Amino acid sequence: MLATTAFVVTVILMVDQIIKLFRKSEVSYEVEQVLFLLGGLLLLLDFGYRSYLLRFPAVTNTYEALVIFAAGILLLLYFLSRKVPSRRGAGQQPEPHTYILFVGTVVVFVLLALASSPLIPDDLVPPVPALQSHWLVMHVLLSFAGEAFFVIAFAAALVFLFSSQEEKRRQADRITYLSVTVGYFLFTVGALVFGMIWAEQAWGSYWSWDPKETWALVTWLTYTLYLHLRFIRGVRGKVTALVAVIGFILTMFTFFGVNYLMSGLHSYV
Amino acid sequence: MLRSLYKFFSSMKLAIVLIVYLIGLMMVVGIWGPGALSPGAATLSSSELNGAASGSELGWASIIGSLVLVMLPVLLFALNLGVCAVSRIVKRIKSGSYFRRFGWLRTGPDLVHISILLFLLGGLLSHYGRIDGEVRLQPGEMAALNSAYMIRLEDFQIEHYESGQVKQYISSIQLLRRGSEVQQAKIVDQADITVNNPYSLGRLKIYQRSYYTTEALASGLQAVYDPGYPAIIAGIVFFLLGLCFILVHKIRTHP
Repeated sequence: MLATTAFVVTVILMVDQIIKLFRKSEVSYEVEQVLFLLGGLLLLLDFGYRSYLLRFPAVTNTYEALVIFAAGILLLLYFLSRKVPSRRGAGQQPEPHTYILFVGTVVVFVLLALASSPLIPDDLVPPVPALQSHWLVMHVLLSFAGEAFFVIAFAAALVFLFSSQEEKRRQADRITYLSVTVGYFLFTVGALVFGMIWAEQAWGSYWSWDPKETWALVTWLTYTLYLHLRFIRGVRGKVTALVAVIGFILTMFTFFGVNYLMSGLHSYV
Repeated sequence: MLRSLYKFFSSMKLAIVLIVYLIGLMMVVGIWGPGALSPGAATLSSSELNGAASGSELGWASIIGSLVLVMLPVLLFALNLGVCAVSRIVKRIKSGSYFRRFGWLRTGPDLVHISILLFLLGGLLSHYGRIDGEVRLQPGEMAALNSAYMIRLEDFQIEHYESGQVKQYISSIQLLRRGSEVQQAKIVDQADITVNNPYSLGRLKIYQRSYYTTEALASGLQAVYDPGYPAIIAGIVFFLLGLCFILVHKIRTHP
C-alpha cells in the first residue's frame, strides 16, 4: 500500500514535470520538492514496515531492493530539487537541474512499475541462512545508495550530451562528476568490499566469479575509467559523459540482466 | 632506457588502455564464464576460470591464450599500479605535499592502488595455496583437522521458521587436541558453527557448508586454509582507508 502510494506520487511527479518542461508561462517547482520527499519517505516507511514484520532488514529480494533503490533516488532528487530556483519566469529556458529531476523521476517510475508488476513478487519471505548477515544488509544498502548517485550522474550526463549551451553543459558535467565520485565511494564500499566480506563469511571465499560479482566488477571498472579519464586533457566532456551513461546501463544490467539471464549465488536479489 | 620504461609504466594513458581492456575481459568472463547463462555452474572453482587446469585438459593453445590475454595484461596492470603509486609517493615526498596540513589525505589514491596490488597478490596466493575440503559428519563423529587438532560434531540442528522454511543450520562442535591415542584427545574449545558464522582456528576456518539426509541427518562442514586471506584483509583495510582519504580530500578541496 505504501509503495503503491509512492508509485502514484511518482506518476503525478512525472506528468507534472512534463507539463512544466514545455510550459512557456511562469512555473513553480515548490510542489515537486514536497512530492519527492513524500515519495522517498513513503518507500522508507514501506522498508521499515516490512523489516518490522520480517524481524530483519527488508533487503533480501528483488522487490525490496527496488523499493530501497527508488527511495534513495527520490531522496536524492529531493535534495537536488532544493538547488533549483523554485520559480521560472515566463519565456525562460528550464535549468539543467530540471531535466535531471525529470530523468531521475522516469527511472523511479520504471523501477516502481516493475515492483508493482506480477514479474516481481512482493511476498514477505524471511531470509534464508546465507542472507542472515549484517554484512549483507550493509552490502545492499550501500550498493543501492551508490547506484542512486549513478542515476543522477546518468541523468546529468544525458543533459550534457543533449545540451548545446556551454553553461548548461558545465553545470551538468559538474553534477555528473560529483555524483560519480560519491556514488563510486558508496558502491565500492558496499558492493565490493562489504560484498566480499559477506561472501567469505557465507561461502568461505572472498570471490567466486559469480556472474553478479563479475558484472559488478565491470560496472566498477567503468566508473574507475570515468574518474581516470577526467585526468586526461581533451577527453573530459563528451567522452566522460558517454562513459557515465554506459556505467548506468551496466549498473542496470548487473541488477536486472544478471538476475534474469544468468544464475548464481545472487539468484535471490 | 630505464627512464622511458618508468615513464611508460607510470603513464595514465597506459592505465586507461588497461582498464578498458580489463572491462572487455571481464565482460567476456561475465558472458561465458562460470555460472553465466548456465544455471548451477557458478560453483566452478576459480582455477577453472583462469585456465590453470592441466595442459592435457585444455590444450597448449588455451594456455598460451590465457598467458597472452589474461596473465600479461594483469601483470602490466600490476606494474602500472605499482610504478604509478611509487612515482606519486616519491613526487609528493620531494615536494613536501604529504607533510603539509592534511597532506596525508593525499595518500588516498596510493593506498587504493596498493590495495588492488594486495588483492592481486591475495588472489595469486589463494589460487596456488588454498586447501579446502568438505567433511560429512553425523553427530558423534570426528574428523582430523591437522596433525594437532580434531573436531567432533556434538549435535546438528536445522531450525525452521513457522512457515517451514529453513532458518538456520547449526553444527555444535568440539575442538580436540590430539594425543598419542584417540582416547587421550582433550577438548580445548566448543562452538556453534552456522551459515555466516564460521569457526576460526588460527589460519584455518571451518564453515557450515551443507547438510545431508540420505542415511541419517549429517552436517557438511568445509575446512579452508587460504594463504591469500592476510593479503586480502590488508587490501580491504588499505582500500577503505584510501577511499575515505580521497573523499575527505575532495570535500575539503571542492566545497
